[in-house]
Amino acid sequence: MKISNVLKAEYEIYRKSSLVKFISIITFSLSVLFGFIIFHSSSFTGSLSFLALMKGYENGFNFSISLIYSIFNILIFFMIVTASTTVSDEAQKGTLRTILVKRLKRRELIFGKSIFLLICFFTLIAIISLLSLAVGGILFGFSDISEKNYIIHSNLSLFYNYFLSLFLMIFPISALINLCLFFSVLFNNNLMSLISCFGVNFIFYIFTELDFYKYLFLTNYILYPLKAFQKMAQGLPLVWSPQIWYMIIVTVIYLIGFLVLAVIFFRNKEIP
Amino acid sequence: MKKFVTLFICFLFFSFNSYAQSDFLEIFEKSEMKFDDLMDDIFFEDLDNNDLKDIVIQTNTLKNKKLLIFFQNRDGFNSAPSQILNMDENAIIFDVGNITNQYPGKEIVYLTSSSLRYYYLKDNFYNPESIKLIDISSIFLSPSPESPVRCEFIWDLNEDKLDELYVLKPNYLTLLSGEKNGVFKETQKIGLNPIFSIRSPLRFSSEDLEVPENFSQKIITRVPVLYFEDFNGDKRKDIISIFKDKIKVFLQNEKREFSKEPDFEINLDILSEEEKKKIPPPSYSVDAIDLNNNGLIDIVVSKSQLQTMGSLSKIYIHLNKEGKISLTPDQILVNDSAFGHPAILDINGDNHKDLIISEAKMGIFQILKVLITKKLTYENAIYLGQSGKYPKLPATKVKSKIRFDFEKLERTEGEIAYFSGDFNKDGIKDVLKKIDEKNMLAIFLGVSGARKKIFSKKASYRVKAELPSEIIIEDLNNDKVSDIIFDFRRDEKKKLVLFLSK
Amino acid sequence: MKEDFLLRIKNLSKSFGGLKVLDDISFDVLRGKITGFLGPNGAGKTTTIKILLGLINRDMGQIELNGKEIQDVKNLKFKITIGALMEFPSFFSHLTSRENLKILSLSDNYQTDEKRIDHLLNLVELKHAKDRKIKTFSFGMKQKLAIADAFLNDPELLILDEPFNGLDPNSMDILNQILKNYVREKGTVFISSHILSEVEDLCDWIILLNKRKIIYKGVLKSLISQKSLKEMYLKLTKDENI
Repeated sequence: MKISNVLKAEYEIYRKSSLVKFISIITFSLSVLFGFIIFHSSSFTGSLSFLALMKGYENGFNFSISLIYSIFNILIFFMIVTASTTVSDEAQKGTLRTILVKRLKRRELIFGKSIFLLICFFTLIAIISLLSLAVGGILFGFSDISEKNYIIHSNLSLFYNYFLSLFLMIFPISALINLCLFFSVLFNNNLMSLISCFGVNFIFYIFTELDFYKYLFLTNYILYPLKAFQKMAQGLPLVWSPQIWYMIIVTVIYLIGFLVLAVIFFRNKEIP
Repeated sequence: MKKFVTLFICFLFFSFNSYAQSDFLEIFEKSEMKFDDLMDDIFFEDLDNNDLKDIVIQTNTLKNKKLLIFFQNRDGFNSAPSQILNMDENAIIFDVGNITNQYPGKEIVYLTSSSLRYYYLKDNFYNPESIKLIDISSIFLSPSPESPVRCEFIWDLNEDKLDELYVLKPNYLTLLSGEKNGVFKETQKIGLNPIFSIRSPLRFSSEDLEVPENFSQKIITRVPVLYFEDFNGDKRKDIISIFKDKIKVFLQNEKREFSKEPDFEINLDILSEEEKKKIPPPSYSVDAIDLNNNGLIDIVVSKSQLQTMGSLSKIYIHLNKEGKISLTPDQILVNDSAFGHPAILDINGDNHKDLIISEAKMGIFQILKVLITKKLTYENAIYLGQSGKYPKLPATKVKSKIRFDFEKLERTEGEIAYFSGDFNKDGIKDVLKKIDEKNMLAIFLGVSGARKKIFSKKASYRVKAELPSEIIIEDLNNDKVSDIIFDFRRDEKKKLVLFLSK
Repeated sequence: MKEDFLLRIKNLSKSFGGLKVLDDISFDVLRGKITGFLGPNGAGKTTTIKILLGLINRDMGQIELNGKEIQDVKNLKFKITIGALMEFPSFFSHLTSRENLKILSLSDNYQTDEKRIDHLLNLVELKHAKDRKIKTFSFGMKQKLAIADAFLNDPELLILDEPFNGLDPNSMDILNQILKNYVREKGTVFISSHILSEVEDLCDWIILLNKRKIIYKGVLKSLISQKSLKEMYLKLTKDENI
């Protein structure tokens, strides 16, 4: 009940926030720009454009997942910025103090913020994905991925796995949000929170390059479901298990771990 | 009690470890062979028909072309060659076979620009004077200054225990068979011709040209790859010729004669129009091999396209269904990190062919890693086949390493895995690893009945030795256990080291 | 006469990084009265209020509500409805005053309808600015909004830290009246302020804090029987300094 109040309050706060407007505008314009370039060049040559040929787009799935992948790389950046300043920004501006004197448990605020950010970004992801799928379908059509009459991936399994991969994005995204939230709780200053959050992610990225240890790091899984589907859209085999189980286990550990840490730190945090 | 349990577990662990590793020399006997010239080529053939493979080493000096023959007897090999045979200067290609019953061993037959001649074996000694078999012209118009190349042109396709000879002429393939009196003559002409193209700086692609027999030598001759296997399930060996992506099949009829014109022509059209335009275009290879152990030859195509990062490789499996190969593949395996073409052999002893695909992930970090460490780590992914069908995921992956010497621009050493040996006679292939950094050879035994983790985790046998660049695995003593031959050709050492199974 | 204590604070101490800001202070907040909390800058008034509101942790000390000890001070606000006004109040600057009050009432888990929000904004004379964004507000306007915010949940106890800061004399008078009315309706007020004239007019009970310690606590009237509050304040804090 109280978390739902936090969600409502967060919605009211973010609804008119310039950051959300900025993110929406940037991602939307990028989608339009990327789609426009490809559509324009293909209409000029009358066949598949050079860019499309180069990238090997043969059907709508491949196009749409490539589009989503490019946008998501930017979206993840915004997500880190937003999530890692969600508490520190309020601490810096003083509104955190105004809220915390109210009858609101600190853990409820953290849970509420975490859920709100997840809902926000996942909705954004879903909208972008559906739009991209529509653009891909209009430009290239949806068909089986086949060669010499052999069906490598059927249309149905492509659709199914497209939506499955989007659903599976919930795990790494919520884990990343909670990791950022933890840093946001740790500092009363946006810059410190941002620097440490990007720093930790960068270190994780380096570890992701190590053969064995990469399985332990969240950065290995951030866009994993999309990467897996992107490969499928290129005709490569899509094998979810066991990697996807590693992903789910590791991301859930991160998700719970950082949420618990955020709550513990926030409970003992002294508000200036 | 706790202490006791811990001690017991430690004891088990250490005793297991010490038990698990044994020395190579428990199962192998090491011997060394030395010779005076640098080795050019090597092959293994039972020349004296005693069921033991002999070793033939080819050397090439400016003065003459030599065959160093090491006969194997029950006690193994001598360290010095049993015979050094100076080959005819005019020999261009040669092969070994039983072309006549007049002599006990196998004959060494060679082709010059005008005739076929042979050396015969008598009393464990090849007569240095060759005998002319027949005057014949072929696509080879003049003697080569290089060492003669061993080409397999001697086969017993009609299964009369005597081998026939196949010689490719500019416009057809001629089949020569011997009569009882040992006289050979051209018995069949098969409509199979090599493909010539003119060497010209302006043209990169080759086109089929009709070339008169005495055409100038400034042409590139491309020879189709010939497979002599049963294609249509009549238990008779047919001729399958593969040139680029075109397959021609010449069936053998009941009278043991081959069709003059191809019975089947299959144009696989491997490259699409878009792919042909790519720079560079994808590379591909076509193999004819029986994948599902039904006695019929199947077709495996592997195609690899270089991309910005890594490559996209596709393996097309065309299974032979009662003598018919469909243009629609039965399976396409796609891989984004494979390099080279797959090795096809039966790993787990179920008589169904398995695929070994070398895989290396290529990204910015990986390239940086290779540049810094000068090492490329790749994995040999093993896909176990069942009736010609392959799973999406490999059963296991065996790591290998190549070290680069950027100054000499060549690979120097590493950790190479060989898969073709069976060292414990269980019919399952074992992995032999050549670990250059430790100067060590190690054997990881294949696990019976495993569908995953098909090799033992720890090496079962190890030995420290001076390692060569290449290793050959061959069952020389016919005991169904593979033997190991150290090939020092690239190391420019005039010796050969053998590990013969005991 | 036995006084009725709403809150009783015993032996409260707090340090920041080894620097003591509150040293073993004990005082009471009287039910249905206005308790004034006075002291020079840096005496520890805001720290005490922050502890009571659960914003920072105490090092030592007990807090009793209606005679019952509260183990976790952060839970005080869940045991009694508190309306709080902090020094230098902050609001969401991109939102209007109405939107801010709506969000704050959501955060308080208190069903506040639009009518009440409008009523409170009227009360603090912000009717004209109810749809203006906070970033256009002056400090005094923000202070008024903070007063409205403090009354948002119909509190049983008001904890006010420098509520008269930035207010014009008219507004001070209005706040004075509001607080008097509130106490008349059985409300309790704990107020910290430097505006001694208002304190003198409002408070029944006084706690004087100086240099981390309480130097006087008692009925205001007995303190100012001979001299004004200002004179007494200066005298007491000066003596202490000596």
